[in-house]
Amino acid sequence: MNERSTAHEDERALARRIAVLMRIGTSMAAVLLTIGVTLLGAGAQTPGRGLITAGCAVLVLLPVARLVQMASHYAHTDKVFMLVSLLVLALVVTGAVTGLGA
Amino acid sequence: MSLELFAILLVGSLAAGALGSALGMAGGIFVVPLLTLVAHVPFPAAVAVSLVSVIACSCASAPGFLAAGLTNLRLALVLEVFTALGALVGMLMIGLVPSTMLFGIFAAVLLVSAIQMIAGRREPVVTDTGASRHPRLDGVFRERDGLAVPYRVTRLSLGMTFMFGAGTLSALLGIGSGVLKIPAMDAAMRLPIKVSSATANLMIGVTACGAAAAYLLAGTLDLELAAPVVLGSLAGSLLGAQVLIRLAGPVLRVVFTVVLVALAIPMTANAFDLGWGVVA
Repeated sequence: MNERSTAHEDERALARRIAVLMRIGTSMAAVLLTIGVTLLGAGAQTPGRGLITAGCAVLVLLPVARLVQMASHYAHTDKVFMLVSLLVLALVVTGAVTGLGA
Repeated sequence: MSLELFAILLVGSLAAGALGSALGMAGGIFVVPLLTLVAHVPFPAAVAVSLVSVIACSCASAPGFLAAGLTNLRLALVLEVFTALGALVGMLMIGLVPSTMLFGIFAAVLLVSAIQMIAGRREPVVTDTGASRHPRLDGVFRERDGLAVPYRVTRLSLGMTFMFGAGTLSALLGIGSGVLKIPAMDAAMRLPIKVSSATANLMIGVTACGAAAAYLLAGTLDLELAAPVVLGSLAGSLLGAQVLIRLAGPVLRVVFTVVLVALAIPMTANAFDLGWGVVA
């Protein structure tokens, strides 16, 4: 197997791991949101709102987790793309902090 | 919130997510008008809810594209530098741009999207047969019949410029910015449509998550509105990926265009402060 096809296989393996992360994350968010809405409808305001917040937080953190996963993968295979992953991560965090102050 | 409004938001977001994912976009372009025109939510509150729904659409649709090997992960990362930068600039502009102007920009985005929908997306004609300029970003995907289709990434700087604009629009308007990402990847970078749809879909989540995190942490995300919209968007994205792709054709394209134009009318009215379905 040559270097190019090995890199391609590495990339496919990373894609599969990201797909698993996305499936687990969106399923978790859906469960948290559904239970939260049900509790809210039943009049349990505090736990209901807590679970809805948690569901939204899981979704918002999923792209961040994906960037961490990519940085970790590229740390072993391609240092340039590890740095690019970390740069995007830094920009996202800066954006969140900037938005908080806006 | 009344049960009736909950149901309207759930079903409306489901339709938005399904249509959006079937056409390679997130559903934010429908969610913001749904919230402002139907639920009478102020524009900034609608943007916050829509950003979370856009992330939901992106994350729910991504596994299918990733499993099919259509997403170019390295290209997505490089372009995300520019969408994230654009989103940062968009967040700095929040509060500086009046709501009437935001409605105007949104109406323009709807109309441009309608024009793109009518014009259709065509596979690019790649004429560059010389050495690849970005060999580490080039990729290959497999058609359903197993045929491997290699492709090259071209005109990267033009794509980056479009992506910066897409990021700014996303943070300001709460949308996935398919209106800029699609021409950037189809026309400017000449990527195969399947690859550009899958790669843009993955990028949408990262573009939106900075601003969405800020709204969530600041406590300005309306949780009662977010719950039905996000649940609907999640379900819609899965439906869109499973069902609507098979139906995608001229009829769906015409329906989509009519909806976009119909939404552009009240959004334009609000740009002129005519108060169409919006709270003061």
